[in-house]
Amino acid sequence: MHNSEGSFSEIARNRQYSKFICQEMLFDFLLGRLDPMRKEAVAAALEKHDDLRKQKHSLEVAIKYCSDLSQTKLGEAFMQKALAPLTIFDILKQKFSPKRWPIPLRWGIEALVVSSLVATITLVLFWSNIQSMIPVKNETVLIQQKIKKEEFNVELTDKKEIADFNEKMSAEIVPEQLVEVPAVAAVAKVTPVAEVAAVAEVPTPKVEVPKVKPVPPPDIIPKGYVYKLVMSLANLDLLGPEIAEKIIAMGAIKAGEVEIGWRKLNGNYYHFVIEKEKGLELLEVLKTYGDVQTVKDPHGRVMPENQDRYILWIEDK
Amino acid sequence: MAEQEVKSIALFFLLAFLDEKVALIATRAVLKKSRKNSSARLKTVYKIFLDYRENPKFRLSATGIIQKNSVVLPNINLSSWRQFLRDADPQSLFPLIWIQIIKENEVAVASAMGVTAGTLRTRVGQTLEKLGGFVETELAHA
Repeated sequence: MHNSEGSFSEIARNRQYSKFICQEMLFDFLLGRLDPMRKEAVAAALEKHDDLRKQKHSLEVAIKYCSDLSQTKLGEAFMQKALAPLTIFDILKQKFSPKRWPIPLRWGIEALVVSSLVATITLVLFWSNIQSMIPVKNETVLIQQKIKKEEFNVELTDKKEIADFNEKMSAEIVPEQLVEVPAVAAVAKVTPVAEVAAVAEVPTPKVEVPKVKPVPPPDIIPKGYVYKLVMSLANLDLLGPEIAEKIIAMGAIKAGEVEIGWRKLNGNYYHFVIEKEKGLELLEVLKTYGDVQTVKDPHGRVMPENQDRYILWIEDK
Repeated sequence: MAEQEVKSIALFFLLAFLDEKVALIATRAVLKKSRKNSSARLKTVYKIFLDYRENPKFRLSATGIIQKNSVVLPNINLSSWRQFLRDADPQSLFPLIWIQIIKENEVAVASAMGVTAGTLRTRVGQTLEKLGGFVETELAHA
């Protein structure tokens, strides 16, 4: 047992450390952390290898440099700034900093911002292309909505005409045929939807019929209608009057207070009454200028049998 | 947190970035996160140091601003240190400053970095050798 221990320490003492191992132990050697046996081995290697000595010198220089750097002192001003208490703004900034938000939320917001930007840029750059891709039908619907607005404005100008019509109607109705129906609501119960719309379309201030005044029964309520034609043409300054002339030449009479072909900011307005046959002819003439959208709408005025009422709206292209 | 501890943290950041402003911001960032135990605080310092080191906003500038009235530097040439900072690996620079300059406990630094003391010592040894090379070159040119 004693012999084996003696032989082990002898082997350890005689062990030859490679240059690489000595290099690795050099730092600990300088700090005095090695056991006597290894210290001896590194010292022996240092005597033997020149580059090891250079390495040791570099380490010594660096340790000295670090020791000098450790003399750095921080002034009072610096420490005051470092230790200054946090303001409410700092705390809020820290609490609500985007860095603290959950990753899905941050990514979501980023994605939203990027996609909105892309969409906006695309819309701005290619707006004219996109506009041309919108189906014509939609454009027509928009124009029709516009014409309804326009018509409303014109109807106000027709106030007198409608009032005359109402008076005429009341006078023409024979008193025996009249039933004492209190109001329009009662009429709506027995009339089809279209007729109710027709009745409802007559502006209330115009139908100033007192409650006691007799109202015609459902079977004799007039079923008026109007043809609404919508077109969209270029060069309207030239074509507008030309179309007006053709309409007048066909024997059309203006309805309402504005002349046929009334020029507005964004188009021309034609409100007229024409013979049924001529109306069909006119439609064919208009088709030679471009597409014509035709809508037959209920209207408060009942025209004589051989006549039709037309509202033509031509918008500037 | 003891003032001495704050001083150590501030000194670390000052030497790591050679910029008074960055050192101040980083120190305050550590104070904001103020941890109770010292080892965890060192961990915070390490994390912030890595973050700042990767952030181009705080990357070492060619002329770090250090005002003489707020920091008293030793009478040595800092150009070799500056050169060394440019090339140094942050994982070696951190223990070098804390162990060799601030004289912090090796085990605490190793624990903050999540490495063994042996690994840390090897890193410090190798980094010191590099620093020595820069200082020697500087001395040779002087």
